[in-house]
Amino acid sequence: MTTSRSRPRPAGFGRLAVRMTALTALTAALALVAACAPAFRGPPPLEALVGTDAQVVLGERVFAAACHGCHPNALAGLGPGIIDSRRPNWLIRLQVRTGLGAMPAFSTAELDDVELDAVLAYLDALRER
Amino acid sequence: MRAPHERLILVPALILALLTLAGCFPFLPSQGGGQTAFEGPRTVDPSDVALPAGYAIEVVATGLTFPTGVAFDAEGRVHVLEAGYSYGEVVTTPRLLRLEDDGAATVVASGENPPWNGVAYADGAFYVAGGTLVGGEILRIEPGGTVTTLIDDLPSLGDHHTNGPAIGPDGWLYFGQGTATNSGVVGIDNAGFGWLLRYPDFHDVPCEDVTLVGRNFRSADPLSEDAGEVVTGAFVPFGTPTEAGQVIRGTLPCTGAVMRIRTDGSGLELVAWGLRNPFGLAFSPTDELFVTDNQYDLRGSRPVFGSADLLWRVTPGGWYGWPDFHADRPLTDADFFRPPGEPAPGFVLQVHPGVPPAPVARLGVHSSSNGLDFSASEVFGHVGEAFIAQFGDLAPVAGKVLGPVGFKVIRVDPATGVMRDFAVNRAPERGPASRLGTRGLERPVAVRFDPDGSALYVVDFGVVTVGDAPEPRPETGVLWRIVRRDQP
Repeated sequence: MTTSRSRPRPAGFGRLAVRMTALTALTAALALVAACAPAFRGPPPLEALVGTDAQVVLGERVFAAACHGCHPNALAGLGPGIIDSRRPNWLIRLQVRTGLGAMPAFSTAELDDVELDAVLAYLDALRER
Repeated sequence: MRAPHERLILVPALILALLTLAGCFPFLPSQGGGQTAFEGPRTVDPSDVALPAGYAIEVVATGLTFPTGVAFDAEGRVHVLEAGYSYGEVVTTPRLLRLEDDGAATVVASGENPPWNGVAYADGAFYVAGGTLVGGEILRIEPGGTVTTLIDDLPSLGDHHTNGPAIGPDGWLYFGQGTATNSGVVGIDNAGFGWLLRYPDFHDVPCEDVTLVGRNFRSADPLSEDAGEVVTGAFVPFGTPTEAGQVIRGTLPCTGAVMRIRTDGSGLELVAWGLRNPFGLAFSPTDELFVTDNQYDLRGSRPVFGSADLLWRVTPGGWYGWPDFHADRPLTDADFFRPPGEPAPGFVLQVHPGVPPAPVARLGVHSSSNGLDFSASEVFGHVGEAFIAQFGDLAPVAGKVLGPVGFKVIRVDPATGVMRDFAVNRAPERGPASRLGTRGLERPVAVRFDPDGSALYVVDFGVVTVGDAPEPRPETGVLWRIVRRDQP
């Protein structure tokens, strides 16, 4: 008698499944470490961002209205720090759109792609100071 | 059948995926600025405070007890207000002090109904707002020390008190009246503040009629000895349930509002309502009224998560959202306001007076953004920008934070809502000096420019550590002064 558990699988399926699962585990581990790791550098200086481009200026305004409350100056507050953690921009984008954990999700109606790109450019500018 | 090594990978992968989806917030400890130890006396060093290039900070006075305001008389002499009360239920004597040239402090007047939360000077007299032990009041204090009560019995017996005042360009005296509760419902948290045991019938009072949804909240009963539970609705005394469609009559004075009187105490009028704790009031160089508003905490029967303190441009007659909105977003937006692991706050009002406008700025959640003033002098710079004193979080009592919030002076451009640090402790991390192990700022509570606008005075309330409750430390308050060294 053949059960579903012992149903024959195409050759190579097992190896693919293991690779996919390993990839998922690696991604999840990376995301968790990035999100929960402690800060690795101090706060940025006080000076205003000067000589920056229009996208960074827009990003600063959008960040002030949408993000600063929980992440003051992109550092830890109610929520975790952003520029002092190892969060990559792809994870920030994912977190903004899906609202993982305690963070609310921001739809494109709340924060369109141009604005989100501008926030990420602003965060890059803060990191580079 | 799955190979054992596949299972070995799958199980941790699932756990990691679940942790990632849940986020790390529930697993991390609170890191509030006050969650530290302190051994006095407090010492100060201006070099521990960072400022933008061209500015310098100096110490004007130390050893103050719970200072909350600064004002200047007709001769420009500096006067400091001591509250006489701090959260943590520590009561001392509220005082108005004149700082003499030799550094001595002369008591101009003292009172018996703390806290004195703010002071303004106009036309030959000081005006003081405050009071919680027997109700809120506005006092007029002559430079010689004569005290006249302009208005009293304001609904100031609860969590938040009578604040301000600010003298408007129209000559009227504007003041803030904070709400009795966190979000409209008297609960066990109000026993923690102390007042529920003193005034068990006290509750919030709307400024205009409101109709309730009839939601009621179950809580422990600290007023009874049998450890029972009670049910309480919004805008009613502790232990009083409400019904759907129940109308609560509006009245003046009310809670959660800015009101105004003439400087002789007559003519009480409503300016705006639906505020939570309008602490700082100031008129801009273009004569518009701006108000800082401490927003919801994560406490009590109806906790609200993630609500940033706000800077409002106040329009007369406006409604600003409390207790059902945070700025222009309704509290029914559970993704934004539901505390982790608790129910969403939802609405308590059936009908709302309107949709609140967008605020000028959304300040840090739990930053306790308090006193504000506007630069009006090219000598100091940043003309038209609002400078705001951020007292700093009271975590974990007001809610958990992952890093200290506030403990600094910021400046805000009202045209863009962009905020930038202006005076902040020089250290690899953020927080009050007592936590950082430095001799810089503790808890800035008020800022005011001197009469010619060339110096910004910063009132630093002093050390307040937080364990199960706030633990304020008398005689740790400081008055600082910031000037521009590279004046144009």
